[in-house]
Amino acid sequence: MRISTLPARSPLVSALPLGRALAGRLLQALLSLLGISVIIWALLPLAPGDPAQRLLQARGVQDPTPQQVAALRADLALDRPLPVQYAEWLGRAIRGDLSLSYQTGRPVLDELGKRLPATLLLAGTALLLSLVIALIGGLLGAAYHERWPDQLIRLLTQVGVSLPAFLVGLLALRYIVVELNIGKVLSGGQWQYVFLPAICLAISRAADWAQLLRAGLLEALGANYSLVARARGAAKLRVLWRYALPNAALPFLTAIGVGIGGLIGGSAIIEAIFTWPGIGSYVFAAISARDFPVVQGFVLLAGLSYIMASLCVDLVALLVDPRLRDRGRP
Amino acid sequence: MKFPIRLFALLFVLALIAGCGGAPPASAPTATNAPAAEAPTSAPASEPTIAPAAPVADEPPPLRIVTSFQIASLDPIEEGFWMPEFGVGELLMQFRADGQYYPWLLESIEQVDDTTWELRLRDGITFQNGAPLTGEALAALINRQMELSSSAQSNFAVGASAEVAGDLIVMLDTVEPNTAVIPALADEAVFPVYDVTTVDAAGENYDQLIGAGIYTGPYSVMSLNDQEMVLARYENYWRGRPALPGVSVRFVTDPQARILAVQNDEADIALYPPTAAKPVVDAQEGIYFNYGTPSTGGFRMVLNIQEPPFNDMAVRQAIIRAIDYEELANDVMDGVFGVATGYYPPFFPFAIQNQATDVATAQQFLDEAGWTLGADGVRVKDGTPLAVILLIYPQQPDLTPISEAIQAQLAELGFAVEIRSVDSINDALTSGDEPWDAGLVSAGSVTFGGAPEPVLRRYFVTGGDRNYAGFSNPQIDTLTAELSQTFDTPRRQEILAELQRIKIEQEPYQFFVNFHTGRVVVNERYRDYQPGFALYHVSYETRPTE
Repeated sequence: MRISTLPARSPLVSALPLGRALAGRLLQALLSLLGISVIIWALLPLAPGDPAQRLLQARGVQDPTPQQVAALRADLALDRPLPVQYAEWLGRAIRGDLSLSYQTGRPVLDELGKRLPATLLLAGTALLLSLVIALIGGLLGAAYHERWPDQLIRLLTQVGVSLPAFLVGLLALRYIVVELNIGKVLSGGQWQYVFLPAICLAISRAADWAQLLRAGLLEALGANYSLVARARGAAKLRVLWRYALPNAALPFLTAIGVGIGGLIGGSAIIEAIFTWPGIGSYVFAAISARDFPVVQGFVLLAGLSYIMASLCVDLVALLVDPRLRDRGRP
Repeated sequence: MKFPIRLFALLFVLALIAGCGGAPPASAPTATNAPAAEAPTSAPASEPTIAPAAPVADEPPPLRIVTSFQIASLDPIEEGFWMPEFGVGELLMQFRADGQYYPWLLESIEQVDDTTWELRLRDGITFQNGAPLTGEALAALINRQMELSSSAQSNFAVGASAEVAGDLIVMLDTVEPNTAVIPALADEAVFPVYDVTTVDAAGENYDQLIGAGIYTGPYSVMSLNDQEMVLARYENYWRGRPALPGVSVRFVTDPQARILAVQNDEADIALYPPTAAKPVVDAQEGIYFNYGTPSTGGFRMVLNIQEPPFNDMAVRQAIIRAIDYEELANDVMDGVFGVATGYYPPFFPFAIQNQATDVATAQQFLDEAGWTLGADGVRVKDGTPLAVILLIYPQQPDLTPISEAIQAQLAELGFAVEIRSVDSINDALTSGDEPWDAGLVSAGSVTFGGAPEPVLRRYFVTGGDRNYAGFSNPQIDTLTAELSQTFDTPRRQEILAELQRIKIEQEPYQFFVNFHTGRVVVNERYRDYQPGFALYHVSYETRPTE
């Protein structure tokens, strides 16, 4: 009698739960995007101020006449029922066409795409700085729990979390750029000037993440496996790095996923203050001008980036945490 | 093993230093010096005049302006109105701070009959691409604008057109009598003069117009993107050689960043600084808050005459006398705004100065109308308190201190003013969704080109779209209709005088609480720069202070 034995875990079998999880998350992402688009289409027309009137004023018609407003509304198809406008927009969006900007008359996707590199540079640098600062702060706080480095980091992170980015930005412009002559007010999106706006964007996130990581590390350090490791003579740094950090990483990764979405969508004020030619400052102006296609396109892309970041974090979590991979497996 | 705190500290400091980057080396191209380097070199050899000239010894550097508004493209229909403001485009007529009109690109304008005007161009004017500005080019421009521009269409009757009548002469047919022809020719959005042939050839690819020299002004557009417009001197400019080698206009939405750019010597002139910044700028060395003569508009107070308390004429008569206009302009706004002394700014030849603070008479009006002072300091009549909801809007931050000052001034007389901020003031005043008794709106007393008739029709004539509270006065309707048909200057002055008497003395309904001024923040190099009237920021004579 031949007794067959299954291999311990074939690559195909390993990939199946991952694939299922990925497919489920993608489906969720599509439904979320659809929901986001419905919400933004339902909410935008409620915003006070007629887009046609604002557009005419932006074009130098100080006090547009009703005839001018009506003609422009017809040109922009704003006089059609909202569901019809939405259905047409959705049809185009599925084909990758996010309509034309009211203000410039250019395709929204091109306009956003043109500004995306500057935003990615700023958000990427801010993300990197946030991670570095959070890691250093969290590790130091945990390693020197209740000693002066920990107390200092707690103080700094509490201050950092409560500082609004725009205030930090204005103070940085005033005292670092103008007084100390470091960097430029009109940075123009050049990479050598990215640090200052990036640090302004990073401070509150870094402080938040450092607090989260520190708390996670302290919890992990108090767990039995860490106590056993210490009892066996492992150095504190080794226990912190080898055992505590991987276990504290999951909530940290989740926070990063949320933070990335926030970085892309939340940089508008900093971009405006530092004249950084990214998506944020562009959308900031579009909101004031009631340039609906730009706002709708941006919300869709911001939602997409948020969902993709969450998806990536989930995948990383699946890869680094065997408990999540093996969930549901006999 | 001892935890390497020093290593972490070192890494942290290194990360900060590495990220700082600092200023680029002196040789690195900077945004403000970019114009010359970015100038296209593909212009035909016969059109070298729009290429930036090589620097000349003792020549001032290019002027650097920061402004809040972005110029989206070189589409002359939608964006052409910006061009006269920065010395790129020019108009047929010019409206100046003395309230008078002067020929600009025209040598003369003559009314042939009620509907026909002869426009005679100056000789020797060329577009920046070398093509001459002829009667044919002007007629093509007028007809193109009438076909495509909503601003032109709103200033002239349907069917208005231009015909060539000579090398430099064009006959303008307005179809109907139009008393606002000259103001329309001085309006930057109506007929900004450009080369129709080149524009038509470019179609909707407006990027092709960059470097194409389609305007006649002293500076030509050499590049335009989301951040900046770069201009170069047009050497063959008809009034003489422009003083500057070039101009850069940066688009910076944040007002604080614009001021800081001047302070950090990254810009020479910051346009549209908030009035609240004046004390801060005054306290700094090397930067200055300059402001010019009052403009044609200001903050207009609109009264809801359909509801109490402003359906009572005595209350309207009281409020127009109770506001201290000098305090608003000189104290609250630190002298930056002009004092409202009548419906029109005093530089207009037809302006009557019949609006003044007179608290005693205001009190008398209220007392005689039965508004008695209550124990809480608020007047009451038949159980109705003299309570007023005053609407302002956040897009005009100056309205906050102004409305608060008005609130305090009126409180002394027994008004209880509640200030409410709304996102869209026009929507709030017209929709009926928002309760209001008064509103403050930034608006002109005349059109951009200086015509009073269209503003009267919209704000005061029965059924006008800016007649927010349904005001109706047959005498105003009749006088406005007559003004719109009257070319005779003395008679026009009489009509306008009568209209001002009704609007301010007899039936106050909408009146100005201040007049705006152009204002800028400048550096030491441009210390004597004065904001241009009608937003003309750059002319061929603009240069640094000696």
